[in-house]
Amino acid sequence: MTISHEQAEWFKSTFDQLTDNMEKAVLGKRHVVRLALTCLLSEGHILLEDFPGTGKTMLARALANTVQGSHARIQFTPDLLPSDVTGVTVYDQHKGTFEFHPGPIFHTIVLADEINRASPKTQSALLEVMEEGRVTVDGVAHPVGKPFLVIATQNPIEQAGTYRLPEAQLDRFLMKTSVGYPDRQATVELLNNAAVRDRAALVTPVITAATIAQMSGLADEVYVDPAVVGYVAELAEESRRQPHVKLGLSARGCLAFVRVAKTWAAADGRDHVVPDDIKDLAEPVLSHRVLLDAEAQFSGVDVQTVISRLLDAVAPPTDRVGA
Amino acid sequence: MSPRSATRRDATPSTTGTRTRVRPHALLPDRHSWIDIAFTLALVGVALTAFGTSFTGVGYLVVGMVGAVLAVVVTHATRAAGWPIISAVVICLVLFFLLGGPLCLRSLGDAYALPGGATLAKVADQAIFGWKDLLTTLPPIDGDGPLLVLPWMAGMLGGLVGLGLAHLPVRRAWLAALLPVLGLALVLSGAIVLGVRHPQSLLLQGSVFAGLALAWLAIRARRASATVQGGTTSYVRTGGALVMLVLAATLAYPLSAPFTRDTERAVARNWVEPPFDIGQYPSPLAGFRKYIDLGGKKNDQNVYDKTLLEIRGVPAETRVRFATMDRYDGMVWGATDDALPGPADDAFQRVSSTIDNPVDGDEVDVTITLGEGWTGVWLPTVGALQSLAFDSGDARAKAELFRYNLATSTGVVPTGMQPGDTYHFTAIEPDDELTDETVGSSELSPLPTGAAFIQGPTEKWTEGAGPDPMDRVMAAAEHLRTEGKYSDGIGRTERIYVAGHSVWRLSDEFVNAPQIVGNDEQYAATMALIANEIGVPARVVLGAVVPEGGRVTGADVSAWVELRAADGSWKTLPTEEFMSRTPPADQVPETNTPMSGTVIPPPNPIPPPSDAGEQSDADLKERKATRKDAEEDEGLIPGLPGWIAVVVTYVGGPILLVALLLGAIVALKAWRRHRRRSADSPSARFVGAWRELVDHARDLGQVVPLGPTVTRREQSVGIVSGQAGVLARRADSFVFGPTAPEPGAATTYWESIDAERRAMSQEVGRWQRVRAAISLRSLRRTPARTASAGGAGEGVDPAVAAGEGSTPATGRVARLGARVRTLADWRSRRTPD
Repeated sequence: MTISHEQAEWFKSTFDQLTDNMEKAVLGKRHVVRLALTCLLSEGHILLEDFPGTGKTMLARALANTVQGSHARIQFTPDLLPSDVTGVTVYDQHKGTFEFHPGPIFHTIVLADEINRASPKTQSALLEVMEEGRVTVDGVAHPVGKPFLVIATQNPIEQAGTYRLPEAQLDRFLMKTSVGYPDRQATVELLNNAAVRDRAALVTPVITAATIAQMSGLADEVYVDPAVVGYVAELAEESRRQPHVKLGLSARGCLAFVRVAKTWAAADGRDHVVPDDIKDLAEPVLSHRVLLDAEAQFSGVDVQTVISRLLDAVAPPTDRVGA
Repeated sequence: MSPRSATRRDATPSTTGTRTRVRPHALLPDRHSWIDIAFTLALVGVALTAFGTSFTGVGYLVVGMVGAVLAVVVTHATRAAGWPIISAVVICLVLFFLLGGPLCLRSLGDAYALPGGATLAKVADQAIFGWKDLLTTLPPIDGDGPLLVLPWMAGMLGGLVGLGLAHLPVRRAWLAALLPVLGLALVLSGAIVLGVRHPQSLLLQGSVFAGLALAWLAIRARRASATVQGGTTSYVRTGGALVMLVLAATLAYPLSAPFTRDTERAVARNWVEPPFDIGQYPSPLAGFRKYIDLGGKKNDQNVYDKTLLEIRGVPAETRVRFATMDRYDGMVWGATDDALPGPADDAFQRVSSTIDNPVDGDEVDVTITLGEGWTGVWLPTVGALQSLAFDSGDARAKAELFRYNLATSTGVVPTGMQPGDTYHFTAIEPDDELTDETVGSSELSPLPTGAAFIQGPTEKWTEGAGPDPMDRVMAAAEHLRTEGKYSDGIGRTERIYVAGHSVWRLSDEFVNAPQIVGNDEQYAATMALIANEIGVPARVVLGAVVPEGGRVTGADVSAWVELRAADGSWKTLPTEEFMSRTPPADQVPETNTPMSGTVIPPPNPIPPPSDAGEQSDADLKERKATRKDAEEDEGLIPGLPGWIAVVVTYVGGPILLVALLLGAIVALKAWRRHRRRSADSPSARFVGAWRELVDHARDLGQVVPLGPTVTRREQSVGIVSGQAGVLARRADSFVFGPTAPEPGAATTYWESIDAERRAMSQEVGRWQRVRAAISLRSLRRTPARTASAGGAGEGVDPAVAAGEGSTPATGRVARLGARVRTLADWRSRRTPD
């Protein structure tokens, strides 16, 4: 059962509608917005790594606002406790029972701001909920509901007093990208409307949670030819063979790759994935999953270079398998 | 923004629906380029005329100009394509070897065919060592011989250097203007150095070249000056420069006159020594006794009564020259390579079928057939040769090796002449009669070491003859004739008169002996020495006087002396003038000479080693076998003017070859298109259709991203076409879609591709369409780095990729292996590239 052309067209128009809506708040960052939406529709999470003042929080809030759901912001600090995120069970003296008080994680869109400032223990508190969509407290599982998206941000330059995210934690994120500074045209437009204090407030909900779930279901039905699947597998294998790479693409990463490529293809109105989708998504999907060894820095090799070499080393398919 | 990206952006369809005309490269020359091309070709043409005195006909000019035109076209095209100048050099090099055979080696049969290894080697050999052959061959050289490689190379070099330097980006205006002119001046200098001492036309080579060079210099200087100085031009400065140059040219002649002599000029021919050593062959005079009458005694080497040659075309009493010996070394009179002082045509040089040998006299057309008694390297001739052709035996090889000394009128075939060999020649019989009015030359030639013995007898015999050298010579001759006796040393009492003409034989046993006794050998040798001692240059000639009927036997052979007159000509002093025919008295004189019992046999002729080097016998035979009949070539286009025939003969072959190559390119593309259209699977037809569009864009000169990792969408960005993106998307949707495409869909897609190709072609000019049709760009395969699991990148066989599994081949060796396997399995590809 694959998605029909009509469904793909509907998916595309809805996706574009969401993108246009978010662009009211995030000017000139259509590609990043599409990546964030793709994460949302792929039931994944996104890590934004960028300098202060580039609009990371704005993006998260705009995304939260465009979906008819709740959202919360958690400012991660060294003294933040796991229970501050997941919630806590307290004793109700009137009822005589322990009652669970959900934390800020129980929202549709959760902005984990400066996630690398929290202690590893608190960071780990996010592991279960990001992977399984539920929080277990005192042996009781509490689902966070659908849709559920964690948008985490981290500052790449202020490393003092931060805790580097563990690899397992990084792998939970479907994508990692950066917003970047707005271009000149967007900056001018932003300055012209300086009176607008909160641009995210301009974004009103245009889609319900149910529709999000429906779109996620459709994205899962997008066809991926075995040739394209093989291309992803080869990229994964090649990522482990590249010089200066300590850790290549994992199986979970491959799955994420295909999943996000399906959504990306549907957002383009297609019922199938093409190799270009893989190439388009290679950097946001791979950049936090490929870990370099210590010599890479001395050799002037960064992750972007490795990904570029990777795409240069593996030829995408031109024909379908068995043709 | 780079020019390429700018071109791409400009060519993108605009929102108004209009499409920008695609013209990424300005192939057609602009006005400046036309001027540079015209001047380059004109100057190269003038430079090539320096070969006019070296070659017969105009074939050298046609070949050279073809080379120049090709080099100019290649240089301009590579510049238009934005390629570095080295690419033009490489292409010219390829063309040089590719067309060198059909153009220049036609005489060897290497025409109208793709050159093989032997032809390429021959072209390379002539290009590297041909100058040596040119300088050591007496001009004019046959205009269809392999030495045409030199003007072919010079023309191509001239075109490449001239236009290449004209395009060279140089900041200084004067240098930019001067460089191409200097380059072509060097080409002219090279052609002159390889030429002859007497130029064909000083006016053409000097004045015309200088005029053209000055004009070009002025135009380029003005152009470069305008560019550098922001549009301002300096007419005063240009005019002043021209005046200075004209003034310098005007003063050059009178100032250089003291350093030049006559009209001769310094050419490499003056210093390059021919690699031929005539001294390695024994003196024929020393073997004179094989021609004597043995009185019935058997001797295999004696040819007294054997036929040496049969000659037709000359009357009886004509002198046939076997060899001229112009230097005495104390042992023998021998032939030398450099008998005359200073630069002169006195060396044994290779000659072609016609010989530039200006001599006054009667022309004769002679045919000689060598008889049973003739062996050796010397070629009997009459007078001063004008042309010569061998009619039998290994004629071509003999013609290649034949050498002739203009000064001594002596010919040599190093591989030897055999009985039965026939040849014919035309010659001028100069007036060589020695009269009373003949004045001897005053050029003194020093006596050889050890020949001082002749001074005393000479003084003695010429007493009372007066101061005139010629009178003294004749007096000495008279003394010899009257006082001397003749003996071949055959008779029992005459065996003491041994053969040879060494110092010992001529002094103690001849002029200082109680009785002067000897035969032609001793008399001629002594007479020549006496003449030289007196001051009249003399030399010994071995030959024969033609009897009635033209059958020359050993009995007709004699040795005579030639004296040089004041006008530089050589006069014959007949044997009868200085040799007695009276036998000696039948008395054994007192002598301490050991008496040999029998006739001292003449020295055995030494088989001459081949000096041909690369022109070995096998090579010569091969060339003979492959050579086309010259008469057939001459009759190729009967009834047409000669120059048209020459042009068609030389240009027709290359044009036909080029046409065949271009046709092959077009056919190869059509065949490729057919294979793509009829691929096994419909999806492969989609892939092939897209590649066809990509290749068409490449042929049109568009910069399309290529490589195994480039997808169709990425390629569509580089294609200047309104529908490329849509077509790429369609191909992807059919290829990677959930359902396998139907053949009908592939057909429809191919129709769309064809329509788009036509639209793209209509966007460009006719010339660019033609250029695209014959472009080799799309036939170049893109490198495959690795194969993917489900298919293959551009240039990678999907079948091979699938066969390799999902493991990509990495590493240089593995990639090379995959590449080799891909090439090996290329014919079985489902999606031909």
